Amino acid sequence: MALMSKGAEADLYLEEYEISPGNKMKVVVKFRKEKKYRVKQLDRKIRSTRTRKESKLMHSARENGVPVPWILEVDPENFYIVMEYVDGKRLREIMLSKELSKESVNELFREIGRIVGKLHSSGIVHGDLTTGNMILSEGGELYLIDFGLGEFSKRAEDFAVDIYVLKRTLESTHYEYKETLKYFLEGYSQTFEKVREVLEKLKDVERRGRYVAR
Amino acid sequence: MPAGNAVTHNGRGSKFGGGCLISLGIEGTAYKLGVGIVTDKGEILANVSRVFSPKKGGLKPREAAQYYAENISSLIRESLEKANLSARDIDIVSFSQGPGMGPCLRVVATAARSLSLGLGIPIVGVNHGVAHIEIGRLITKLEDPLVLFVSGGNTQVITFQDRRYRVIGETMDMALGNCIDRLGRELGLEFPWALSVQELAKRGEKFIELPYIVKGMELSFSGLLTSALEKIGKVRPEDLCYSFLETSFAMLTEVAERGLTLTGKEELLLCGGVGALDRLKEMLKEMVSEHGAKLGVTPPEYSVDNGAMIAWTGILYYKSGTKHKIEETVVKQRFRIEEVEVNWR
Repeated sequence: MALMSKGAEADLYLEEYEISPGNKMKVVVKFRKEKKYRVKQLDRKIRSTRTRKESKLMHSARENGVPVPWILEVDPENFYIVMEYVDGKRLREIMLSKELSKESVNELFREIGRIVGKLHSSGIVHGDLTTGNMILSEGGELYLIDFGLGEFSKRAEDFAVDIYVLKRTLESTHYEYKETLKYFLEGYSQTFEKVREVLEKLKDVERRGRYVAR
Repeated sequence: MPAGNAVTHNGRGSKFGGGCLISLGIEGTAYKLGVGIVTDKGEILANVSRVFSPKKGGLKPREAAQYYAENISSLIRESLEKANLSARDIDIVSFSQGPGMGPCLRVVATAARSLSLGLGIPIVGVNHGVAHIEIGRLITKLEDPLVLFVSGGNTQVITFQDRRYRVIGETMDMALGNCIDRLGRELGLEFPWALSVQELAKRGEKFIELPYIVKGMELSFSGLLTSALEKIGKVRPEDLCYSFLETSFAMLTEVAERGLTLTGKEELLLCGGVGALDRLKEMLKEMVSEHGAKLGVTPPEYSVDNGAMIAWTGILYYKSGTKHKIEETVVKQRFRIEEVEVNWR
């Protein structure tokens, strides 16, 4: 297994997976690591609960038409999820390398808005909505990944935090794209009804300034 | 401060290397009243305190304030004696302006105002949380740490960005220190409850599952406390204390770890009274070592509420141009750390 990336909570591995005899596909294995600082019993409980929850969030998102990697296997007892490998690039890299025109990026954000609108309409908060957690596939489709901090929620404030995090990412990492949020919100309001309420909450969240840009 | 009362240096150059400024700080937000005397070189000349310990039940703000009022003058005298100074040697007075319990804050503010007016020296109202961080930075010598601030009234993860301390993680309900106290009290342990809980926990053998609630950078302790209180009388108190501390400290360590990843900081500072508990330090140490980061722990004398932290932060405020008019010294029970513009960093 080849290590793709190391995170605070989990590591990602790239692997070949045999879906039927002789029929292999590339997959990502997300493995939640042991934390030695906490007692074993608690550590196992946390890792299995979260593995189960993340797969539920992804499954539910997919059922509601949100493009997320397809899940092939979940093993909460061994703390891993096997999911489809999406061949493509992270949006963060694409935007930093400026390989797309501003118009294409704007168009892309309209689509991201529609996707996040669907996600929120289905009662799911992503929890870490940055361009590093979006993949543009070779086929030009946009995927949301990493639901490790996600929640099932219907609270406007939780949705507002998703938008706040994305907005801050645009302002700090991609500061040439500040006005791009406008396109996101256009798409967002096409697929999500309570936009006004969420934008109201967004003001509160911004006033508190609690969330750090990355 | 009245016009014409320009502050000059106290002239104690021979003893403190010349040109130094001496600050007296009064802390009083909960049940500890503290007075500290610190120079602008960061020398701590005195740090004395008295603790209000309720005879029965929890902490009653009014009784604590009454205790403060009875003790504050003699505690200030005690600090001066300890520092071998007279009141005239003090250049600025600072006090904990909030957050905290109203009646306590008001006693402290009143004492600070009378010192300021009586001695004709500037007064600075200091944010209690900022003071915890600044004394921690002074003592541990950490440059730009992520801060885990855990006390009786606060449970926060704080980072420094754009001239302000910003809370990036926080309890959604109760402060952890308060929960530990409550558990100790309900178990009939002795004050200070947190230390008693820790003593019992060291003899714990069996881990009992309790609610573990972390959502991203947010924590929740009220469910954990309720569940633990329900188990009193049904399980060994040792096991209960052990499981309670293991669970809650793991929650803190998890958000601290996530905070380090989010902010990219390479240092972690633990401050606040709960930081005096051994197991929490141990867990954080284990966690930061995996990240190649550094842990700084404010020693107990300065991690619990204390006067020295207020005195030192008063100096930082003052030297960066902040002093308050008497009418600006109104206490702020809900004084958020983000409100303070940090001009000294």
